Amino acid sequence: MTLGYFIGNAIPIGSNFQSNNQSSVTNTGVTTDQPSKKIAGSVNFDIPSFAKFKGSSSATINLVEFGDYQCPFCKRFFEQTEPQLYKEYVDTGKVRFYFLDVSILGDDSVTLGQGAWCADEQGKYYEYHDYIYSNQGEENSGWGTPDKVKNLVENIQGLDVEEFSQCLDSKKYESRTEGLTKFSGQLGLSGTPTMFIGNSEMGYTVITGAQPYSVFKEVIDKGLG
Amino acid sequence: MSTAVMKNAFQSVFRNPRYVLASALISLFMFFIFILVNNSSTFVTLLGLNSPPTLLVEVITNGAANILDASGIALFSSVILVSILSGITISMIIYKRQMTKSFGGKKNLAGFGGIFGGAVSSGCSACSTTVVSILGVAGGLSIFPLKGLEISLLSIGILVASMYFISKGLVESDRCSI
Repeated sequence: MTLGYFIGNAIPIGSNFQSNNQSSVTNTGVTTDQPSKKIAGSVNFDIPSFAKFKGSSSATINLVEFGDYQCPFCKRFFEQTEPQLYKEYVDTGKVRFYFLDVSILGDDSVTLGQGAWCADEQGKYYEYHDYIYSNQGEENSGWGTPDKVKNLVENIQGLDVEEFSQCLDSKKYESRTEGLTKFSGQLGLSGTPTMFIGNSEMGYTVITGAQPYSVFKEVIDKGLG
Repeated sequence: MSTAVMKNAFQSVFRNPRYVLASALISLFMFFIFILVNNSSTFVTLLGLNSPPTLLVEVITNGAANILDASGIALFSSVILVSILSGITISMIIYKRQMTKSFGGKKNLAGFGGIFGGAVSSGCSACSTTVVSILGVAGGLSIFPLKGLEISLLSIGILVASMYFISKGLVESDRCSI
C-alpha cells in the first residue's frame, strides 16, 4: 500500500534537511532520455546532509536505517543483523550505513535522539548509537530521561560529559529530531526499524522490521547487480 | 451452566476427527497469517524481487522469534492462544454451518472481531506507528500497562464469548422447540 504510493516518486524534504551531495537526487518526476535504473516499488528521497555514515564514501549502495533508540526491535536488528551487514558489506566498501533517529515511542525517544546529535558534535555519533543500543532499557521506563542519558554517556570513551550535558540541556537538536520523525512519516514509515536500501539512481527498497540477514543480503545483492 | 453448554458442544464437534484436524490446521494457518500481516511490507518487497520461497519462510520464523525475544513470553503465548482459539472458533462455525445450514447470527460471528484484534496486537517485527496513529498518542502500545497485551486479552475474551454463543446455538439446535 505505502510502497505503491511511493512508486517512482521522490519525497520532498524540508528546508532544514539539505540534501547530502553524495546522495542527492533530482526531486522531480521529469523524464530523461537515459534509460531508468529504478527498481519497481522503490522510494526516492534525499539523505539529509547532516546524516553520518559508516563505510566507504565510494560505496554504491546506501542502507539508511530509521530507528527509535527505545525500540526493542531496533536493538534486535543492531545485535543480530548489523554485525553481519558490517562484515559483509560495510567493511568491504560495498555499502554505506546511515542511522537516523525517529521518536515514535515517547519523550525519552526524543531525548535519546537529541543525545546522538550532541555526541556527534564530539565525533561520537556511532559510539553513542552502539552504546545506547547495547544498554537499552525497557520502553518508557525512565531510562532515557536527560539525567539518565548524561549518566549513560559517562561510559563512552573520549566523550566530554560536561559538554554533552550542556548540549542536551540546550535542546538545540530538538527541531532536528522532530524533523527526522516528520521526514520519516513523509517516507511512509510504518514502524521501526525501517531500512531503505539503494541509491539515488535505482531508488530505495524498503524493509520494515528486524528482518533476518538473508533478507538484507537478497536486497543488497540485487542492488549491487 | 455455561461450562456444561460448551462441554456438550465441544463433544459434538470434536468427536469427529476431521474437525480436530481442521482446527489444528486453521490454528497453524492463523499463526502464520498473524505474522504475515505484520510483516506484509517485507513480503511485498521480496515477492517483487522474485525471492525464493525459503526466504519467505525465514521471515515467518524470524517473526515468531522476534515476538518471543523483543515482546516477551506473555505476548508470544497470547499470540499462540489467539491462534488456537481462532482455529477452534472457525471449526465450530464450519460445523454449525454444516449442521444447521446457518452461520447463526452476529453473536457467533463476533469471533472474527477477536481474530482481527489478535492480528493487530501480535506478530510484529517492528515498533509500529500504525497503532500510534490509531490511538493518536505517542508511545503506541507501550503506553498500556501490559504493553499491548491488553488487546490480546480482549481478543481472547471475544473469542471465548463467541465460542460460548456458538456452543449455545449448537446445543439449542439439537432439540425441538415447543
